[in-house]
Amino acid sequence: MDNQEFVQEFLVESSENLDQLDRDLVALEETPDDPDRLASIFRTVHTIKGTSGFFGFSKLGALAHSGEHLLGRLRDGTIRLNEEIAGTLLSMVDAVRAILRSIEETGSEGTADFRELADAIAAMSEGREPAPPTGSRPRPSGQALVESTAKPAEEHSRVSRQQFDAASRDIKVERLSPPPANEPEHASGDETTAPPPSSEPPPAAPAAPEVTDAVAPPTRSQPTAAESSVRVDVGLLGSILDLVGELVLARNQLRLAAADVPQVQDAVRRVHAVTSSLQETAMKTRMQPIAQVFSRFPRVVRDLSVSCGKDVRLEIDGAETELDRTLIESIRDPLTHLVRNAVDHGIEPPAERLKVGKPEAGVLSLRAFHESGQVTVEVRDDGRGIPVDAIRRKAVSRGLVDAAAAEQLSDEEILQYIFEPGFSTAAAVTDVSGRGVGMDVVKTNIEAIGGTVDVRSTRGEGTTIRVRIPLTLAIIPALIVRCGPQRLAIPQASVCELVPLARSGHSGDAGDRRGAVIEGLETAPVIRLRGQLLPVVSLSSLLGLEDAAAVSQRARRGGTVVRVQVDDHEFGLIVDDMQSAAGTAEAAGLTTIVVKPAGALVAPIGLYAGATVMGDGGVTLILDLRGIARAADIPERLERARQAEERSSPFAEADDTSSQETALDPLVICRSRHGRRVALPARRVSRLERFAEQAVEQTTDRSVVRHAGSFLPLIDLDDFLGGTTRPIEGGRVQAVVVNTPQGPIGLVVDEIVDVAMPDAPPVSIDGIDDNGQPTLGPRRWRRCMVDVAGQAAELVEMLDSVPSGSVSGGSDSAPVAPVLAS
Amino acid sequence: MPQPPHTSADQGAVLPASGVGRYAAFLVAGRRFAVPATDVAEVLRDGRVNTVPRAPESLAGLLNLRGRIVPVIDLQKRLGLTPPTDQDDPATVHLVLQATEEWCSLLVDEILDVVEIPDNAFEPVVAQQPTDATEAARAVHAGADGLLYLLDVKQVLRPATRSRAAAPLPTT
Repeated sequence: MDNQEFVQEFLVESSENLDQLDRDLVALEETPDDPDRLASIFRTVHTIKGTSGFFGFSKLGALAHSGEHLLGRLRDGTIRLNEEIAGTLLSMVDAVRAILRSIEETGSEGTADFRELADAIAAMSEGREPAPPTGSRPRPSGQALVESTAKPAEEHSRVSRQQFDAASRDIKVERLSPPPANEPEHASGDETTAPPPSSEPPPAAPAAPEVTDAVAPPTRSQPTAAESSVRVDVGLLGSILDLVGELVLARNQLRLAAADVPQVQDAVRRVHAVTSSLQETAMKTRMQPIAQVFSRFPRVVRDLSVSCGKDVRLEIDGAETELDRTLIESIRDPLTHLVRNAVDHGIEPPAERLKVGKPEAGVLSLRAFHESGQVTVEVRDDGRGIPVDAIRRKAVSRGLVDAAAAEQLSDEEILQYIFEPGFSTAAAVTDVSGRGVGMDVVKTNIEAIGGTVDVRSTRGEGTTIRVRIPLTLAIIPALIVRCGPQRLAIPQASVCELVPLARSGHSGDAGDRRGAVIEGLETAPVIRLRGQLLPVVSLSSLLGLEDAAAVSQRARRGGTVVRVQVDDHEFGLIVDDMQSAAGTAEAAGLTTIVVKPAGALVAPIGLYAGATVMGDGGVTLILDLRGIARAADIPERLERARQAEERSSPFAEADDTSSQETALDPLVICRSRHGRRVALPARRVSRLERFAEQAVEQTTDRSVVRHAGSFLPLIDLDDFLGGTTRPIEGGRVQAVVVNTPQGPIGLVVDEIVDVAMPDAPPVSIDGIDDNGQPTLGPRRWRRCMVDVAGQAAELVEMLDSVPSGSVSGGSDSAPVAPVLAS
Repeated sequence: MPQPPHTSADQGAVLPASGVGRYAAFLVAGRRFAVPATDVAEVLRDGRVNTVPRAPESLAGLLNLRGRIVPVIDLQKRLGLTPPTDQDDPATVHLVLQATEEWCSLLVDEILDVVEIPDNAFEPVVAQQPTDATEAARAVHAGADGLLYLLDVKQVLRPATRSRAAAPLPTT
């Protein structure tokens, strides 16, 4: 029984060692004379040999022994490492791995026969004459040895002899870096480094375990990591983390309770400090460098580039970036897939690269870095890029989109189709990829851990795939907001900024004018943020905490918009205010929470990502922003806005700038006081205001209102449009404040109906003169008709100014002032 | 998935054939229910329940049980029972169950007692027309105090399939 445990430990340890061997061997190819690395490789193989002898795994022992022997020759300098030797050693690693797998699964070493490989290794270490080369031209002596080892290699990396030969003949095989500087000049034409003169076959090389035993340090002196680390069950770490979570909550409660007891303040502070560091440390126990995933890629890329006949240089950056262990596991397969794709489909064969003026060797760059509370992993190649047109055709042929619509989609949108299940444009299904499975799985797997994938590609220049994943799943910083009676947590990683809402005073004069104004009405509210429209969602109404009337009432009292980003969608959540987690010292609203599952009954609601326990013992739900965005139709709203943006305007020829402005904007729909339905480009609208009638001042020819420290001219919208006006009846004046080059003016309307996207492009109803220009007469605006929400509206498109003479274009040109005064 | 009227009878057959079980009995809307006593983790009389916006009516909210987040089921709503007219206080007693991996709390009116009932004293629930209540009841025991329905906790944790019970369980 004990023996079984030891075997298990041996298996775990060996599999780690083999990964290390892969890395070391590939690295050794770059620096063949690095004695430290050689020694490390030697020790690892020696350990495997020794332990397998101990357990009586004779096949494994023999294989490791032959490898050790070869390594011994390399170490003492009788042979110099070249690609064939490296390849053979890697094959040995694969063989060892296969045997270990067999031991793990069946308890025995299996039936696979690696004698041929062992012979090849032995031949190599003795520098024996190889079999005659089959290639078309003479090769350096070391090379042909590959022929004898090719068979075992095939089993693992599926390199056909033909492919391998082609690869060896035509390109530099899987070289991961430029040749070492000390390489003799004459060898530069060869794809392999000929053994240096020093590597004369040594006289009577014995299979000398005694020698190696004597030199090899005891197995105890593994790489330092092993000495200073302890293998701990992951479940144990998990429960430590759970306990720390409990402690954090208790700490928060304690601080709340002790707030009024000065005697214990010091102790509470210490508990606080210690708990915080403990929490941080406990989190760190679960953090692992992404190198754990990256480390396999040199080998993957090496094998793949050989089998694809490509020359690929792998650049790795940020391998030390740490993230939660569970996340490391979940990105392993998706990243491998992306790397394989990049080598197989992205990077061109060397000949093709030369033809288009690129360096022969393609560059595949893997980069990991922290970015706003997330880890970003970038897989970039400088290959041929993704053929957008092919994807477009494929999407149409598969019925995912109709041909006309496909033409309208931007390249970036077309690229999204690669994430559709079963979507592949690979011309040929290869061993590696192109079977039409993968990218959808990549996306699904990444999204399952709360991450995102996006792809960018430029034809002929390469493809960049960016995977963003959260740092950890267990303890996250979150913004605590209040919304009606509810307290809710928003993961801070998604929060971009907080925008205070303006409080509008009841009489339209007082109130806090600093801050954003909600401009749309119930269906599609927006706020204007640095010139951009941001769709906003009232959390209260989305969660059914308040009805719409109460929401708009409350909006007038102020509040905050939390601007968040989910995937590529940005939107705002209207909340009442921020809440500090009771009793904690963190900045108000921002606190560290322990994410707990909210349970099988809450998950189907689709709005919550989990729950947490606050310092006061209450349960707070964590918002699932992706679900919130879905529930609030955010993607559709943004899509409509974007489509409106791309639509051509009726004035495309007449006036490019102003027409595009119209197309870009949603429209403010209002009813004029004469009952006309009028649309104003929201871009031109700076605010929606209500003024008390008493606040309106009269001048000789117009009305003005004191506003924001200045005077705002008021013009009745009907009057402005040249229609008739109607005396004011209520005590309030509703105005739409529009910006003109002469400054803002207030257009007096009866009511704001909506802010909405046009259903279709506006149609001009102005006449066209002989020059194809609209006949505007004295007007400084164009008039169009547009359908909004199924109803026609007059669209007023302002040009550059609103001269006073033009406002009274109609027959009934009563000045605004008397109307307002009546 | 709609179930034939006799499904409950089949569930009754799942019970072990012999032996005596201990059951915690409780009152909901004037009816007597029970769960296996070993499923009960604790009884809580003043739990602070945080409501979950947009949750189904039967989910009263979430309860913090020493750091463990426990869903609270309003049994009366979940089973579609109408309370007797003389009862107007909402149920406030938490019967916290550890029957499933995910704990849950059932909001009940009153905890009665732990009773011992021989397995063969249970009978299948036969309903002409299945309701949320009959679907959640694994079996029924006709005792001296009236009928005692054995709840299937797993079923209770599933969302209710029927809107409102057309024919509530008989009380006696």
